[in-house]
Amino acid sequence: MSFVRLSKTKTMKKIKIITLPILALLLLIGCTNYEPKVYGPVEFEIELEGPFFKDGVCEGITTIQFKPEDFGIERSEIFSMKMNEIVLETDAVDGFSTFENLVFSVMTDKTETKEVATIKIKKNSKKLVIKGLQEAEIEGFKDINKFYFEVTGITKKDSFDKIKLKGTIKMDIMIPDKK
Amino acid sequence: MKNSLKLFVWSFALMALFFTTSFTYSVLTSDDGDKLIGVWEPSHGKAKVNITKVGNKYYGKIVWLKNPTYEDGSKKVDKNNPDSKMHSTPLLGYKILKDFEYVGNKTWENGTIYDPENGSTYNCVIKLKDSKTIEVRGYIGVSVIGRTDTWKRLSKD
Repeated sequence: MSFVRLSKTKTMKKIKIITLPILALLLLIGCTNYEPKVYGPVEFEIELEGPFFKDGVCEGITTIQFKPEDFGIERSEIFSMKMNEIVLETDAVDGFSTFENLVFSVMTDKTETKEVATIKIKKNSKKLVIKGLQEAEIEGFKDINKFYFEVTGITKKDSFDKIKLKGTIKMDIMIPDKK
Repeated sequence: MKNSLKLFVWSFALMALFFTTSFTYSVLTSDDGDKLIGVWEPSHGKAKVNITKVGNKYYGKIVWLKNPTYEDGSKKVDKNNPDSKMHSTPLLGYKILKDFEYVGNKTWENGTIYDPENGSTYNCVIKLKDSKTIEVRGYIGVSVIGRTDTWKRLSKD
């Protein structure tokens, strides 16, 4: 009986030794607050190509250099990135009415691809201001020097030219709150 | 003096061999990886997926749907996505294959596949069986627990 009790105690001790640090670590991670630092605005130009038939998919990709130092952000402190805002302009005669919908993605060679914003075009205009999806958070952004910004559009009328867009993006770079 | 010259020639030859082999290997593996690029049709025939390469990864977007609209005539959207903000995003143009890397041996790994019919994302491995056939295996956790689907390449003509 005493032997059983002894072994139970030893096992309990082992379990405690293993689980307590894990729990402490989880608690520490859970309690870490992150504050956003704005990166941008960064200008970009993009050309959308595709079949351009009605109900067609067209897309364009541009490479954007990621230099957090230019915006006073310490690279080593970066935890993740969220898209804050995308401003998009077009000189096309029909404005954005060519599109039914636009989806914006961020891709890198090292992180998970995420759709960072989406918009359903409701009225004709030549300028759009789109808020980023706050749920779309990309971790590991401190390890990258460039990323690919992709715009995918669903056209609702025929178009026979490439569609040129230009604009700016602002990103929220999440860093641990030191307070 | 003769020995140093011999050593120099040998070192140079070895370095040249090393760089030539590395270069050839990288060109060959990169070309093999690009065999995935193109338009593919899953076995259910309800969609066509265009696979492209961005940077060093491969992605697949829905470019055609057999039934692009619901019964009321409205366009099919990603209504099953766990993120409600994506519910109005059309399925046409949706990126369902993400972040695949070529690992050699006609295999692409480390990517995910999204099933719009249930809004779930699965880990995924793609294997090229022949130039016109790939096996796409979606799985949860370990590759053993999953389902394999055969996709056919659509000819360009």
